[in-house]
Amino acid sequence: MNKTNQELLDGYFHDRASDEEIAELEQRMLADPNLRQHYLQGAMFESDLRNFALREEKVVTTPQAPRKPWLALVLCLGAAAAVIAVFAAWTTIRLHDSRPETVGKILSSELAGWQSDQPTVAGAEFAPGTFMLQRGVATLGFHSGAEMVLEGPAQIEVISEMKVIFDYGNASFHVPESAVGFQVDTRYGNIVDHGTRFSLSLSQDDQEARLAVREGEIAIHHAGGEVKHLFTDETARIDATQLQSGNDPAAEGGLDPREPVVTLGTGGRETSIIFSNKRKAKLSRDILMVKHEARQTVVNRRALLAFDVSEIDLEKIAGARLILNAVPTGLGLVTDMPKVSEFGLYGIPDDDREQWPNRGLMWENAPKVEVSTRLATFPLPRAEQRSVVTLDAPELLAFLQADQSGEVGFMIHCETPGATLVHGFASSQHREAAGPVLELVMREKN
Amino acid sequence: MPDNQDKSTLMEADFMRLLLQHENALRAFARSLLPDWGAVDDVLQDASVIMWQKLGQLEDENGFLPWGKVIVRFHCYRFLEQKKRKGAVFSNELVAILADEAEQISEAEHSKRRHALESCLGKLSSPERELVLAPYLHHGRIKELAERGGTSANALYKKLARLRQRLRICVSKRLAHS
Repeated sequence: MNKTNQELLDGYFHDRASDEEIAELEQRMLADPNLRQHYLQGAMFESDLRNFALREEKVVTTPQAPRKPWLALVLCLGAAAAVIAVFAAWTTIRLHDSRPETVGKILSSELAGWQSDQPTVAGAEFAPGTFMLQRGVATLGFHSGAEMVLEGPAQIEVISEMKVIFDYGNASFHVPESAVGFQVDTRYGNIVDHGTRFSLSLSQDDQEARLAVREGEIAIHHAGGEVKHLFTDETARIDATQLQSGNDPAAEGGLDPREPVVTLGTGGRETSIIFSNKRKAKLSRDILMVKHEARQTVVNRRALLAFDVSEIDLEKIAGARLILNAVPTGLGLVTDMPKVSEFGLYGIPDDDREQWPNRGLMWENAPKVEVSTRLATFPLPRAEQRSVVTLDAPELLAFLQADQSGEVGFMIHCETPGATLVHGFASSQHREAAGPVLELVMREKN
Repeated sequence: MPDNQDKSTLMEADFMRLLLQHENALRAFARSLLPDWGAVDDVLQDASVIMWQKLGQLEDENGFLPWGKVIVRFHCYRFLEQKKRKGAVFSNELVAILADEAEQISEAEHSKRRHALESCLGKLSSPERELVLAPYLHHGRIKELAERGGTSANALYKKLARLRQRLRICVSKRLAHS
């Protein structure tokens, strides 16, 4: 290839480079640090020219506009609203490019975590498609005038400005006259709105959907063929076999009967170990640290924890859950890591290896993974440094039931070799998150 | 609790100011890792939402740019993973090297370059300036200019290449003298 470096760079930055030219540019850059510097300067050059171009276009088309369109918003609106406006501005740029057939707009997004291939920030217009709201609350305004306030976790499929398939979640709908006939399909039947405010609750595991009409009228078309109209303050439950009017005008729903559970904390019986044994410099009392680095093994860490079960009648345990709160340690870089790291929960043998001290434990004296029993594994995505891990494998229950010593000990080991990041789980000393908890579901009260 | 509200409002205002202040640097950083401007806009949009959500992690505002670059870098990686299935982009190895080197570029350095470029742009005639900025506005702009000026698009592209070279030389000279 005879092209100069500059010709390759210009072609790349102006989207005119062929696959072969990109490959050639890559080879040259890998071999030449000066060319990489030139490339990075080129990225700044391109970025600034584009900013100047967009700014001038703005000035030409809207002479009264401020230098940056957001700036006026920052000054005029509250900061939070302006932040949303900034996101909306970026979204709008993208929409202009590629998304002509929208059916509505996201009106608000309150701590909402979405999973969707569409823009999901407040102000973004959306097209038909599937949306998963993992947490938080969002308001979707359809072009028909209907509005849906959705609470996560929820999953819906937007079919049109007049129809939604509701997989699970909690939602309230407001359907004005312009959107009469708005339809919500559920796995148990369809709801056709005749101008109203109503709420729908359908969890992933529930075997029924709950409906409450706050104002107006809806028609429920049960999958079995029955049709029922609900009016202001009326409620209904729908399941696979029937459609029942309810008697819960407050629409609070009901609490599930609580199973008999014994909850145990570690009571401070927890520690981390590090291969280098530099405990003071590298470990913390409030975080149980875990790390598996392939190259620098001296910084590898494991966490140990134990629960006193001497007062528990182990034969009466019907189920067991170990709950851990993953928390960031602030050590190492997330970006170095594999997307997901796998962890193992190991049961420490019921002998003197279980008698590790809470303080000053050296790596070589600590229980070993090799002689422990793996009871469960769990993944942690690098992008989610805070999460709740619940382990309820049958092996955990069997391990508990086999205990002879009155204490059950566990070790957490990272199975996936990574780089610099140190994983963390809240200990009982953590200031914000709860420490490890062992929940035992008992056959009868202990 | 009024105290908390005050703190929260202050942080929101700080975020807007910091995002505006460092927008150009973050955009250039993303452009150095991503293959086109559409990708840069997408990634910055997603990354800014995460920055907003995680603002509490930031201990002082001097750390905003390096912290923002880490978040943008992560989103670039994610975008490139998806993009790899569709077409040619740089390898993970090169992107990681570029990201490491681009993270070393300070706001002050970028700012000097921007001012030098603005000054050099000011030396161009109006038609020259319009031509230099045309490729960043929309596809077909060069063709429009060619039709308006009674020349061919090919001739304008050649002229554009010469003008861009003039600008680069001008920027280098200004930086050398500053």
